[in-house]
Amino acid sequence: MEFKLPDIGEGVVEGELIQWLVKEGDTVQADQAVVEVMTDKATVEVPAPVAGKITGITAKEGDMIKVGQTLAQIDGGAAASVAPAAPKPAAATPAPAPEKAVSNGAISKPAAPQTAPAPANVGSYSSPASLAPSDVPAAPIVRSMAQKAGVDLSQVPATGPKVGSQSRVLEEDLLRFLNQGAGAVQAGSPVYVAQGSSAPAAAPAKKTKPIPANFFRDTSGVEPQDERQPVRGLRRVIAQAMVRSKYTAPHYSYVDKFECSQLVAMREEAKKVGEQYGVKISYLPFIVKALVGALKEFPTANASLEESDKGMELVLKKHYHIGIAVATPDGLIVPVIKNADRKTILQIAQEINDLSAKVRAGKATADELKGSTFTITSMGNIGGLFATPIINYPEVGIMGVYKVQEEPLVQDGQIVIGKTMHLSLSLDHRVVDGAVGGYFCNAVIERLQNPARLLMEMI
Amino acid sequence: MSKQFDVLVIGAGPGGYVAAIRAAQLGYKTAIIEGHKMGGECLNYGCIPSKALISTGHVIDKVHEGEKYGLMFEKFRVDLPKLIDWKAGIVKQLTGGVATLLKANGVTIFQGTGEFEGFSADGKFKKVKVVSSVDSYDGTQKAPGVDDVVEAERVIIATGSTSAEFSHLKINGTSILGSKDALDVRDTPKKIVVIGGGVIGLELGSFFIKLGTQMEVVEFAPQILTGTDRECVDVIQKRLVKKGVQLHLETKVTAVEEKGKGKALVHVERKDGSKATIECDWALLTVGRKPRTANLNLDRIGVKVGDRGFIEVNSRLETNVAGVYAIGDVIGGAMLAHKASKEGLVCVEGFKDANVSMDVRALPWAIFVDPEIAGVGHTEESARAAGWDPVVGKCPFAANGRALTTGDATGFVKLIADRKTDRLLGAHLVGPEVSNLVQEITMAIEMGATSEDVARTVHAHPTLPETIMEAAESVHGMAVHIFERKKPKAAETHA
Repeated sequence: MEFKLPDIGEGVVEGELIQWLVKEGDTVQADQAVVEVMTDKATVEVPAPVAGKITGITAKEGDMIKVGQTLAQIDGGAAASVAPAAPKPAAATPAPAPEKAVSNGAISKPAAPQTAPAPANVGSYSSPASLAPSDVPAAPIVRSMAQKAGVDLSQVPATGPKVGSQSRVLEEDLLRFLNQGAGAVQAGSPVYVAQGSSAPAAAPAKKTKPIPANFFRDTSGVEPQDERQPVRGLRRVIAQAMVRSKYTAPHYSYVDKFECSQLVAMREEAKKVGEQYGVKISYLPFIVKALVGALKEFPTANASLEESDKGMELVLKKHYHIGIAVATPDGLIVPVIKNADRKTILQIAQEINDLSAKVRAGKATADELKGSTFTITSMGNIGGLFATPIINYPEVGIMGVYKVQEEPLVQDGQIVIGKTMHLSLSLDHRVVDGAVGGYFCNAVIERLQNPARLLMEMI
Repeated sequence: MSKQFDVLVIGAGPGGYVAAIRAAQLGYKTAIIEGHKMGGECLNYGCIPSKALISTGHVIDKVHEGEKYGLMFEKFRVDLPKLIDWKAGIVKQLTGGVATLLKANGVTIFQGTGEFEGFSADGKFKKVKVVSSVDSYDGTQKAPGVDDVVEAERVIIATGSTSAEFSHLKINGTSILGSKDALDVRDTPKKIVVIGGGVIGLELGSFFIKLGTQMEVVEFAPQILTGTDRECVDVIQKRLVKKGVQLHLETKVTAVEEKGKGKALVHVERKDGSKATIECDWALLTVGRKPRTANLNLDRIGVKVGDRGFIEVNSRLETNVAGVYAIGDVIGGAMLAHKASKEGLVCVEGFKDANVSMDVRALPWAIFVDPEIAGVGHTEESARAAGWDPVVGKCPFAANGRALTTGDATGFVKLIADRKTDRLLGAHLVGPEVSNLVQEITMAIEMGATSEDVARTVHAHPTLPETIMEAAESVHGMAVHIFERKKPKAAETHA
């Protein structure tokens, strides 16, 4: 039967094929995860609808796949009438592509001994052998470079002095070969693949190979070539989302600074309380609460502008779902605190901690990453003065929060030491004008500067 | 809390200490365990001390034949204890140098015998216990120190080898000496029996001959120096016989009987069943080497060992257990210090790049008998077996001016090249200083050179390496200093 990309739900219409979990000819069980597909929400493992043998794989890793598109054939499976099982949500971060597993310098992290791959061909080596007629004449450095690059020297056009009818392969021959990218490693050539990585399936031909590092000297020999990497997975999703936001919503940014010693004092107290509950309390839960209060005061900031055949429509959201931008090694991911208006500071703190941990571990579900109505990005742990963040479209605003710092302030004609924090708001000018944005910012600051004000709205 | 490292090397011989220094150079946090003396067999009881004695032996010979050069000595005497002390000084200097180098590179040194304990809970680290009370050389007990447990992501086993023995013939330090004992003999023996006519036995035996000791060699095989180029061995064999050495080939030792201090009876049995007894001061047992793995507790981490006890590795020097490597004598093959060092370097470079594996095309070796034998690469037979069409070029040292001026122009240089491509495949040399000469051909083979490349390279006169140039010319029947009646048709290298 044809194995098609099933409806992943959540209104998703397409996804990127991140990785095949099986290969051509493998026998699979029904419901066995066979392929990883990443949508703009999360990565899902798509299970086999029936048991059988995988043949005729048509979709490649990196391809964008539409729902209903054929990925492969499953032979010998039960009747084709069975509806594909729903995929099970997997990691929000894409699993590393196989080539990433090749250790490249740093000490690789071997898995537990029971799962560590047994090194290949153990017992195959005893002493260095003598010359064989198939040994291409080349100097030790050229051979070392070729070995590291996984190149079979017999494939390299040689221009060195002749040895019989054969020419010696020179360093420059190999460099030319690597730069022009003559190709994939020959099957069966004595190339050792890094542990932990499966042998590369049909490596793409005509791909330039990086010049291997040599600790004795710089062997690059020629001008370094820029590396071209396909943009895949999360990076592609981020790139597309940013372009859509910047080219749809005319951004402006509004920046202010406020005195925050009361906020600092309150958070210090709250931290102690949090400890009793085992919850780490940062400034973020207070900022979420202050933001929600201000959003209620300025409903157009908790909205989205929709364009359709009927013209423009402003959708004023009645939920207060606050997105929190989280940096992960693979890129930016925004988990969502749902109904932040109905949660306590403690609940929000707990949820932020849990969600960011899940996101960093690549374990957040699609549901946890969608539906935000306004987003906060915090740079407090990085530093800087402030940034002009890009709106998490189709929301109309994003708020950047920054580190607390001590600085001299003039108060009643006296210089005193105060604590301040910057806030920056990027807003969609189609919906929120500059003056409104300014007042909106004031409304946030009012609540953060004066905790009593914040308390007035507490649930 | 145990001590954690990126790389742990067990054994500070020429394999281990070289690997440790390179690992440190490449930025790994590295430790090494040694429970005897730095430098391993090579520096303490092998290459270095034996060469100190052998070099002196050459001087002794020169003195004895001094008359030939017009050198007249009135009173000449060898003070063996003084010579042994001088040798010990060199060893001390070198082993101290190893420790200094390790420390200078930031390698942490643990004193004791390394025993595998298992894996860390996450499987990432291998745990090795340092047992300070056990001498890692021979397993004897000594005063305990600190017993650390060291953890490392990667462990390199470089524990080397130890003298092989027979159940009926064991090294006892009195009637049966091992190579280590023979290097510390302070009384010149009148007569010795070398059991096993291999490299170590003949090297050490040759030194004692120079002291005036009588020597008999008992060898089970039909040839001494089994596996070495026959033509080269013939030169040595003739020299030994000329010096009065009796060779008992195809003969085995059935027992060694100790008859009081400095007297032993060696009972032998020939292939035809006939028996004999040789009286001597002591016998030197040099019947090979066996891997030193006894104290490692390899079964605790599941490292696979082959039939003969050697640890099995792949060409990246990794054992069947990921992250555990083995180099040098303990994996078998040619038991050479420089092979161990090279394996150490390749092993460590492989940590940086998973494609790195052993790629040695020419592994030179040398035997410090009198005169020396050295070789690299193919013999004619092995070249033919590998699919080459070998052609030989040869130059005797008798045709070399410099060799004649050394007073000993015995021997020759033999080069083996491929008839069709002229590519250099190997060399076998016997004669003065050939242990130093072999390196030129090693380099040439590694570079993919032809014999014509060597022939066309200017060689300084008057030097011994001129013989290599002449041998290369001789491959093409074009040697200048040898009259070559029949010129073999060699490669058409200009085609």
